[in-house]
Amino acid sequence: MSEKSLVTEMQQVQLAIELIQLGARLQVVETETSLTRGRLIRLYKEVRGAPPPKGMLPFSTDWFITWLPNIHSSLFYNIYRSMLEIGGHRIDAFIKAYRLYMEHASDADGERVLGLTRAWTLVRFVENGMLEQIRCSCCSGEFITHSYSPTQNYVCGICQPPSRAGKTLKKRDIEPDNLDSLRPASQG
Amino acid sequence: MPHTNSYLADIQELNLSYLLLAQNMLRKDRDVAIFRLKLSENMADLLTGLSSKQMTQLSRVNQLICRPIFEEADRISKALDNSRELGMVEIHTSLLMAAADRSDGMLSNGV
Repeated sequence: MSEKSLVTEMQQVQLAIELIQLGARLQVVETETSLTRGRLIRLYKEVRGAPPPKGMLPFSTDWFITWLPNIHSSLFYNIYRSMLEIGGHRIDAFIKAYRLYMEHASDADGERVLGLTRAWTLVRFVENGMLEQIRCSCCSGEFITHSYSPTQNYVCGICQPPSRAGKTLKKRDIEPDNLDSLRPASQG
Repeated sequence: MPHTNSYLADIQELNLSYLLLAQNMLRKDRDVAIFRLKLSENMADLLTGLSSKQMTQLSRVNQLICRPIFEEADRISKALDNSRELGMVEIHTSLLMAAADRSDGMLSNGV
């Protein structure tokens, strides 16, 4: 029986902490590190100050195809693929790519469209051939799509947004003002 | 001509800033620097190893040592001139640039 290397274990704990800080669900950390579930739950509580959420990970590939998530997923995946080519190490590339993606994602509304767990699921879906990249015939950017979808004349969601794209988001921004103007004037 | 001289000073300053920034980034996190700067492995090695004297020498030319990485101008203009733009220009450009070519050589790659 070989005693586990302390250095390796330290690195694993470090990796787990980094993933948890970035918002990884427990299942992600469990898959990517060799630490036991019990230790991970303790670590999770220490890092986030709350027990890990229960339940399954999101498992639908459809989410990645909807308009805004597709744009963010595609941006993240392009960065990830480049980082993988440069560094070669899968989880390293993943974390670095996610940090690079966050620089773009957090300036819009502070809201991250693609959470870390979703990003991780996306990578797994592509690795398992459920999703793939498709080239937009207009801007030549690579976008995420279902595998085996027709590749001819594909146009991405930025070059040709669906007719109601972005409307719900804007509505949410305007709503508080509208509500104010509807309130009885007697308060003033 | 004073006009030309001021361009020359700007270019040389930009060259030096670029070299300093690139070396800093490469020494801090090589992989991320290669991604952000779109460098080849060889170029990354070269820039990492430059001495201050070499940097000064490299920057004191009358041409800029870095150039836009966009392979085709019309791809970028499509991202910029989108008539139905929904605040996505930065994300779109970033997406297109993320897949940009980092390979060596200006001449070998002129497809």
